[in-house]
Amino acid sequence: MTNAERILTALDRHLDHPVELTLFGRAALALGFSNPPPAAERSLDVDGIIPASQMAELEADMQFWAALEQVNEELKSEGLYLTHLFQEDQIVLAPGWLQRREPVSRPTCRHLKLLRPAAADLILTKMMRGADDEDLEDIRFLLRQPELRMEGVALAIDRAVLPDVEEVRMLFERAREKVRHELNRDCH
Amino acid sequence: MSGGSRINESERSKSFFGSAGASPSRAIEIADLKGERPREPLSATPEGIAHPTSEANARIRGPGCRVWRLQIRELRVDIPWMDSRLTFAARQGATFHVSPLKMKARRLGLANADSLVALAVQRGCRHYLPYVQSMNASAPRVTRAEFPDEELAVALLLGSWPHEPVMVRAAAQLAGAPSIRPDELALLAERERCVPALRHIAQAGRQTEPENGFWEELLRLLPPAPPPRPGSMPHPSRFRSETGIVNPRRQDMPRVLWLRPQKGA
Repeated sequence: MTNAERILTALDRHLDHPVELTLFGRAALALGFSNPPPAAERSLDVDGIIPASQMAELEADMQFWAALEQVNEELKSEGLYLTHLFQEDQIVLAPGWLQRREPVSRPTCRHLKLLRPAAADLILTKMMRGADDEDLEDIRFLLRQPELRMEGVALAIDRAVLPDVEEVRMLFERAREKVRHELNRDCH
Repeated sequence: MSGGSRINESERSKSFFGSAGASPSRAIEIADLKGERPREPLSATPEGIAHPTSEANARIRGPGCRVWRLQIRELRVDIPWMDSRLTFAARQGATFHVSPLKMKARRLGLANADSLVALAVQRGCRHYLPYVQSMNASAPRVTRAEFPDEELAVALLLGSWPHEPVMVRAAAQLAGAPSIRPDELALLAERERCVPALRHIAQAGRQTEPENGFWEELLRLLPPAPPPRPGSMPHPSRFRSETGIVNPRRQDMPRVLWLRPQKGA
């Protein structure tokens, strides 16, 4: 069982009602794709995106937050945690990302309904830090996915909605050049 | 409203005059000190000092008097750091997350940023009592078993709060408490994405009291992180008490002291 599976299985066990959770980051790669990169399976945490439409409901869901607290306490000694949940306006995504989400079937959960953004949207999220070496490896993995069309990636990059933070914008532009290079390389 | 705020007569409003380079957009009206209202409204200069006409001044205080008290009824100014939309994360050039620690604090009755500062004051950070009083802030009695000092310190540094330097200063004071566990503090900071802010505090602590191994240990435990955007964090001098006057009979009295929670809280 990967670290992400352990974290989500524990969360599912502590929940007493259905909760939808959109994964991103390496947890989304580890659980949402076939043959994920080994590094993704070693990640110590799970990252999630909270859609704007879900935000109010989740904020008011005290049982969810209590369950999260229990999970983080339970897995603390192993260095595993789930704390990085972001509202969608704090992440780089393309319009319509919500409708393009794909289901995640691992691990089998009783209460958690797991999803991930489409591959093109996940690439956008990987561009927020300027596509460092680690992110670039993940982007290359995503570019190889059968569900992806190169023109879809280019379109997503052009339509991306960025958080209103100057540093994020600068880093995204830096990443844009790198991803463009990867796209051109894959076309030849 | 473009970053403006309604100001009342508080320590905070008095302190910003002449400090942030505010450019008032509305005249200040002198309060009716003696049951008379001046006929002319007064304008505040960027230095925040009203210059009434000599006629209005004489009417309020009597001929020859140059001292008056301003009661600000309403003032709308553009001060970037008071923009309620500007979070601490945005000031640092970062995004923020939906914090489980913030949710825990809310569950314990700590509903907003000021209540966290109020709790820090309850736990001995009395340097910030004037701020708490000026904001009419309060906090329920929350025990350290329910909400350890490490969690309170990190909660004060969460990026989703509106930017308020007092929170960082209170966090710095709490972090200096002898009971703080550096490993716990570092772990929480990493999980709650407060590493740059806590590194800034720890570096200031190490600079202030290099003989205190706590700060070096904390810096060792914290993961690498880019520094916060210049100007987004209080100057290190805000975390300590500094005096240029030293009793010559007490050569062991330090000039600079890291502010710590007072005991008995």
